[in-house]
Order: sequence, then C-alpha cells, then structure tokens
Amino acid sequence: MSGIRMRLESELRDALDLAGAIATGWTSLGADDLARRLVRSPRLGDVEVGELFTVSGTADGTLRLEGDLRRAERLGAGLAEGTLIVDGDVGREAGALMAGGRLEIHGSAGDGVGLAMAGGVLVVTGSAGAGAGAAPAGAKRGMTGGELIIHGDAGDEAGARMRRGLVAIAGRAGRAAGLSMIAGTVVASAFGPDAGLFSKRGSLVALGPVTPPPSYRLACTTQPVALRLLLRRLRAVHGFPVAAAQLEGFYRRYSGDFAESGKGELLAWTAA
Amino acid sequence: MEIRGVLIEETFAEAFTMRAARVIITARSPRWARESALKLTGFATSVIGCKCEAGIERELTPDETPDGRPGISVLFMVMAKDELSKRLIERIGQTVLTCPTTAAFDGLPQAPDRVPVGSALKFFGDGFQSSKVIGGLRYWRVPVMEGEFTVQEHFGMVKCVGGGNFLILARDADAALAAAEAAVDRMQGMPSIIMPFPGGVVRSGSKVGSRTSKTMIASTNDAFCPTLRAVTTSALPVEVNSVLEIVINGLDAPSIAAAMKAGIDAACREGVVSISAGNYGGKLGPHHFHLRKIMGEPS
Repeated sequence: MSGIRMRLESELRDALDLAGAIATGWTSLGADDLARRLVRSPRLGDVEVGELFTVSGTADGTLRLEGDLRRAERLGAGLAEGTLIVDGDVGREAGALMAGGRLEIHGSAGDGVGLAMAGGVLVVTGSAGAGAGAAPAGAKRGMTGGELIIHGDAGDEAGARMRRGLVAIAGRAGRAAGLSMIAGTVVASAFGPDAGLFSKRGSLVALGPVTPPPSYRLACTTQPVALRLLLRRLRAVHGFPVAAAQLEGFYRRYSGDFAESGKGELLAWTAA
Repeated sequence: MEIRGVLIEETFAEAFTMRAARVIITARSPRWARESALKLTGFATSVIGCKCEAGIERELTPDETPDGRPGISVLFMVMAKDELSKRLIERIGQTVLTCPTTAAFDGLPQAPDRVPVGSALKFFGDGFQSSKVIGGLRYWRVPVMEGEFTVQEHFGMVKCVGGGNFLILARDADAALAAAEAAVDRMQGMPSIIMPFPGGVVRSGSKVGSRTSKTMIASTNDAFCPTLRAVTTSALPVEVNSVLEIVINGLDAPSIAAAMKAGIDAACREGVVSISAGNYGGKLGPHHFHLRKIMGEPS
C-alpha cells in the first residue's frame, strides 16, 4: 500500500500534542524523516514521532494514523497539504487552524475540532465535541474557510464566531450553534436551544427541528437556490444525508439576531 | 466536388477570434429558463450593431445544471475581452435577474480567465444582498420581490471563433429557405456552437465597408445579391435567384467545422445549385474553413 502509515505502539498515558508531526512540508517526507519529527508530551517534553509510532511506507501525500489516539491532541493542526486519515477516535482540537488539505477522522473527535480552520476539508465520520469550527479561547474569529463535515452529532457552540466556511452536522447540533457568528454557514439536522444567538450575518440551516431565538423574526417561506447548491454539494461530495424533500422543499426564513445587526438568517425546513 | 448534384465551391469561410462566456440559466421549469434565454440572446446577431453575439447552445436536463433544475446553455461572444463583462452584466441584469425563478451560472468553470458579473449585479440588492461560497465558488443572492436571484460572482472567458459560415445558392427563394431550414435543424444542438441570426439564417450577408458612406463598416454583399446581377460584378451562376447564409460561432474551430459539415450536407438538396462561403480574401480573419476540405474531399 502506498503512502505513509503511523501506528501507535502503546496506549498513550497522557495527552500528546501531535501538531508537529505534519508541520509544513510533510507530504514529500519519507517514513524515516517523519519519524524524526517532534511531538510534545506534557510529561516527556519533545519526543520523536518514531519513539511512539511505527512509521512505514513511501511518501505519496497521504498519511494514515492507527491506534488509540483518544489522547492525541491537535492532530492535523495547521494541515495545509495532503491527506491525513485517522482510523479511530481522536482527542481535542484535531484540524485546528487547518489551511488546506484533507483530514478524515474515521471515528469521533473531541472538543474544538476544526478550531479556527481557514481552509481544506475536515471530515468526522462520528460525532464531535463542543466548539467545532469555533474560535480559540480569547480569539475573535472562529473558522475563516474550508469545510467541516460531521456525520454524527456536535456539541455546544459549533461554529461559534465563525467568519467564513461551512460546518455541516448530519446529526444534532448542541446548544448555541453559530453563537456570535460573523458569516459562514452551519447546517444541521437539528439544533439545540439558542441557535444563532448574537449572530451578525451568516446562515444557519435546519434540516429538522429548530426553535429560533426570540430575537429572530420570521420573514417568509422560500426556496433559496443557493441552498440547493449547498445541499446538492453536501450530498454529492460528502455523502451528507439530504432527502429529496429537503432539497426540493420550502424553508422558513428567520432574520436575526436583532440583538445584533439582524443581517443573519436561520432557514428552517418545513414539511408543509 | 458535388454532393447530390450540388456544387461545393472551391472557397473558404473566413472567421475571427472572439471572446466567449457560457451562461447556464436555470429555472423552476424549462419554460422560464427558455423565456429568459430568449431575451438574453435577443438582439445579439452581430457585433456590428448589437455589441455582442449570442445564441442558445442547447437545453439542459436537471442533472446537468448546478442547482438541479431545468436549464439552458447560452454562448455569449464579443470581440474585445474587456467588453465581455460589460455585456454580460447588462444583459443578465435585464433578462435573467428580471425573469421569474431563474438563476445564472458560469458554464466554463475550467477557464482560467474570469470576468466579474455577480459582483456587479449584487448592487441591485441595495445592501441587502449576501453571498455564499460553495465549493470554492462565490454566489451572490440578490433579494427580489419574487424571492431571491442567485448569480455566480465570476464567469469564465475563453477565446472562441466567430463568423464561420456558408452560403446556400438556390434556384429560387423557396428552395433556399428549405435548404437553410434543413441545415439549421441538423446543426441545432451540436456542442459548443451557436447560430446567432434569426432562426440561424441570414439573408443579408455583408461586405466590409460601403461604396457610398465612409462611416459604414459593412454593407450589402452586392456580389451575392441576385437583383444586382446586371449592375454589379456578380458571383452568382445564372440559374441562382436566391441566397441565404448560415453563420456559425463556436468555442473552437473544430466545433464549427463539424457543424458546417453537418449543415452543408443537409443543405445539399433539390433546388440548390451550389454552396459557397463568405471571406475577405483571407486577410482579415485567422480562421479559414475550406468547404471541400470540411466535406472530406481528398487533398
């Protein structure tokens, strides 16, 4: 099999910051070079990848990680090129600050997946914790580009303070998705309370139940063409579950948040 | 060379390099896509008087369009590259933005040259417009009374070929028209070409300049006018009493050649004396379509 394979040799006892493994320029590196890259453990300090992982294969722009990576943090952080595939669950802030490339997590992700990502495609086949695509603590902006696709549920504040880009959640988004979002799009099959609260612009798209905050106002029932474009792409490119009725159907458009500029929108699919 | 008794003259059509965009118009139903496309391509027969040349390329099924609705593909051509954006903004703004349920998309996504369209039309939204970036492409959403007009921010621009043509020289007007209709029917829907004149047919082929005016850039092609046979240097055989021209623009020369081959073959029928073509001696246009070569005569 082509590509590089990194297999975790033993269970991680502590959190491990994996951001250094795929720092800029990793796609042309062979297994030996990647094995010499440094990752950071709070207990051990900087450690060579090769001390923890068996690294094998030949470079072709793809890297597959295997093993119990639930304590692996910032996996794929800053990814700008190539394809990173993870078999299993990962810890917090996977794909944070991604600028390009593709990160596939075949499992669930911890809090902060896609934190402030700026480009690329990040796919989580399971569920994600809180703050997916949101802003780092103290930062003004969350996602500024790219596509974050979560095939399960997402925790609270998905897409909080996002500026551009797309967060698509096939399952249910937790509380306050799109909190204070500046622009961009959050799609979910269902939203928890306070969706779009304090949103300045941007779009929340509910393919199922949602209760708009009281600071949103109903505008009309409509069929936006731009939404058809988005849903067709999600279905065709990402295998996102979009029913024909959701593609062809009508959406109640709520404007808000009028606690802010009122230039945002919440589009709620209606079966009627 | 003859095809079914019709002489294919030893001549060529002379064509020019132009710039093209492909506009995909979609709508809730084929009817409204067509209504919009007809208006968009109206009064767009020749750059001489219309500033652009446009025509319907073909109808599109929902699975061929970006938004999954019925659509029409339109080819839109101008002489200078800085003209394309202006003309698209004018015409899409007046004929697609205004038409119920329609949206306008770029049909040349691979073209490296991009011209702004939606980024200008958005201003009709008076500050209420918004945009979405989907798959790396920006679309503008302009609020209108019916709902929302969606238009892509940029359209692709490519070099293309305008002015491919052939002339049908017939014994009478009925025969010329029947042959022209048969040719257009055969060529309609062929890929990457349009026939910008009414029904695809021109009765008023022109020559460069004018005998009587210094300001006119084109005037009647008197050499091919049967009524002038006795007073001008005629190019018409004595038995010819009516001539019609088919003008073909295309995204590339091979597409035009393929269409000319199909059209000429269809036009070779009862009542037609010969097939000729319009050229300027080969000095003006870089694209030369030699009729006999196109029709497969061994060289």
